[in-house]
Amino acid sequence: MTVIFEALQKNLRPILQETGAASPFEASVFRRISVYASALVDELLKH
Amino acid sequence: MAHEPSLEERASAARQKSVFLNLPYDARFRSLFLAYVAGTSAFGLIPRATLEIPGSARRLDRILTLMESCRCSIHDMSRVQLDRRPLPTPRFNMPFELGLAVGYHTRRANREHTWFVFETKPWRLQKSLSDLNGTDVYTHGGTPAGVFRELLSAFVRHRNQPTCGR
Repeated sequence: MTVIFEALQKNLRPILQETGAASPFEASVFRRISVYASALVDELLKH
Repeated sequence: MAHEPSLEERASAARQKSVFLNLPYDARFRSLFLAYVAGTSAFGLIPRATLEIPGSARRLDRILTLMESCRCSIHDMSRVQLDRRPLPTPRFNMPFELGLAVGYHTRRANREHTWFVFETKPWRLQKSLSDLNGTDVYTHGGTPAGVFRELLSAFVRHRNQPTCGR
C-alpha cells in the first residue's frame, strides 16, 4: 500500500499538469490516479 | 469454445470489485484521498467516487446509481466541523451518503452492499452520529499509515491481502 501511495504522491503533479486540473478532486485526475494505481498493483504482483 | 461473458455477467463482476469512496474533497485531505485510492487498489478493488458524476445529471440519482454499482462503500466522517466560509455550516453530504448506503444495504434482500465507517478521531462519531452506536468505526488518526491499517482491518476477510509496508 505504501509503495502505491508514494508512487501516487510522486506522480500527482505530472498528472495534474497533463490533465490541466487544479486539484486531485476532479474526475479526470481521479480516473488517472485510479488507473495508475491499478496498473501499479498489477506490476507489483508480477514481481 | 470459450464462454463469452454477457453484459450482465460483466457488470456483476465489475460490481464485485468496485468500492464507493465517500470522502471529503478538500486540500487538507489530499494525502488521505491518495491513501484510500492506493489502499483500495492494493486489494484489487476499483475505487469509485462522486467526482465521476457530471454536473448536468441529477446528482442524487447518479449517486444512487454509482452506489448500486459497487459491492461496498467506505464513508469517511472526518469532516464534521463547521467550514470557515460564510455562512459557516457543517457538511452534510457525507453523512447523507452514508445514510443512503445503510438504507440500500438494509433494503437489499441478501444485503449484498457492505459499508464501512472511517473517522480521524476516536469516539467523535459516537457524539456526531449516535445512531451508529454499536457499529465498528475505523479510526485512522488522520494519517495514510492509519488509513492502510484500518483498511486491512475492515477488509480482513477479503481474498487479496496486501501488505502495508514498502
